[in-house]
Amino acid sequence: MIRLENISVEMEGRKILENVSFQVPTGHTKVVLGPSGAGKSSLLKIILGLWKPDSGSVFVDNSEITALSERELMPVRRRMSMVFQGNALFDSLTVEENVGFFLREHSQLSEHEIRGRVDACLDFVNLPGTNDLLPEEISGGMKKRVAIARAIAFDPEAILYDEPTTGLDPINAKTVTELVMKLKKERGVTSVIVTHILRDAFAVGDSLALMDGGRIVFDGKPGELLACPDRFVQEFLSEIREEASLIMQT
Amino acid sequence: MPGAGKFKTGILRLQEYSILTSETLRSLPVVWRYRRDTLEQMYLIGAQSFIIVFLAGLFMGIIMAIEGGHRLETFGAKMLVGRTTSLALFRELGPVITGLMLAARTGAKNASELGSMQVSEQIDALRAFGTNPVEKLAVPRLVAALVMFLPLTLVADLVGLVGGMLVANLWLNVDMSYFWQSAVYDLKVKDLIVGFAKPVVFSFFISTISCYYGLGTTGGTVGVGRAAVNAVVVSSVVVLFNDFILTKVIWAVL
Repeated sequence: MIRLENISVEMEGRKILENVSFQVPTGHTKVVLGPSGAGKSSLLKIILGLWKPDSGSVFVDNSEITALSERELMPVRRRMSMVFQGNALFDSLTVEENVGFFLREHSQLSEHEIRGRVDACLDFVNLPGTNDLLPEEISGGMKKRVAIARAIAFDPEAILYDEPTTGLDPINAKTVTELVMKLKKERGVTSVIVTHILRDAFAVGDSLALMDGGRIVFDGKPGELLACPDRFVQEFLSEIREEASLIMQT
Repeated sequence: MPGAGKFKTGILRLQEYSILTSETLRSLPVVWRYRRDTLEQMYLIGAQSFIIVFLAGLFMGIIMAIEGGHRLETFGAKMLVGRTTSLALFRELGPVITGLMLAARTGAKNASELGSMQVSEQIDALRAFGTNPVEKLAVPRLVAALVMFLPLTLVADLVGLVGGMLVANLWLNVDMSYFWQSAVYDLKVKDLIVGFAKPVVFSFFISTISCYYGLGTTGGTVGVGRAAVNAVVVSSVVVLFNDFILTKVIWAVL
């Protein structure tokens, strides 16, 4: 379980996060919604310990990780994984080396076993046979799927997604959303997904949090979001209310 | 006061550099784990810098022999050209020219590579996957530099000596075997200590400074360019400053 308690972050005099609290039970998918600049991506970096909050605490399975040093954080990070907004694939490594990176770094598996695991992950994301390609040789949608394959290669307990479908065409976006749902269904992975796309949020989220200006203005079930009277929530939903209603009906 | 602000920033950077360097030194034992990365860096620094160091050493030796030879000839002492050329090459020019060449080549390479990784979130990805970027990226680069700079300096010294010998023979009519004997046998242990200590110190600073600028890159592609330029400029100045300090200290001690 991941739990955030009163997280606040300030950078160069600007409040990035202000008293943010929520929790993600094991096996659940939490979607953090909000407009650009709301502080959504910062949350993921805080959860992984890439950034330190000015105040507040982060708990992973009831152990506080906020004050851990970089070295002490490494074992915690090895239980989680992240899909970055820009994919952050290692551009000098092939797809095979990217997906097998964690296993080569931190596992005792033989090269044969690692290759088998990499092939299985690439099959899972429907990219078989791309092992020897470099990231620059594949499309944006494929890069995103390689990033997901890299994230699941070591069977993490939790995966953090930063805008997983942003910038993708509708078909690739749908493929990625389906992969996220498949991961939850088949592997029971705990997920935190940051996005501003409501369709994705309703499709995959067990619960939603809506952020504005570094604060959480709504935290609850997807159905409750539509009924929330908060002015910002209604404003955020207004342009896509019709679409949201359709999604809820289906 | 803008001057005070710059001074404060300078102190802050020095502090950040010291923290990174001490972490790199503390992490040195992991070099065996990252031996493949270290060997790759040794190849990139050693094999790929060979030509530039070879040419720089050759021309330095030739220039030293021409300049020194003509000056010495006016005093009727042109036979000392081998001794002066070898002293200049082994004590000063070999290490400094190699240091400056590698500050430019290796410094720019390290800073731009690590800077590109930083701005494209690859460094964050390393950390997110439980890998310490200092261990994976900075340690192999430091060890590779420490190992490769000394032989490269030796190449520059020896190639310079051969170049000087050919020029002295062709234009000053100094016998080649005499040049070689006076150049090599007149070198003292002290000269060799000076000549071989400098590359080790230079490699340490070039490597750590370029990694510091690379890992601290901000501001996208412009930031990568700025990191590379800063790494080369600061490394070059530090090479020259250390050359002065080492020369002074070794003269005082030995």
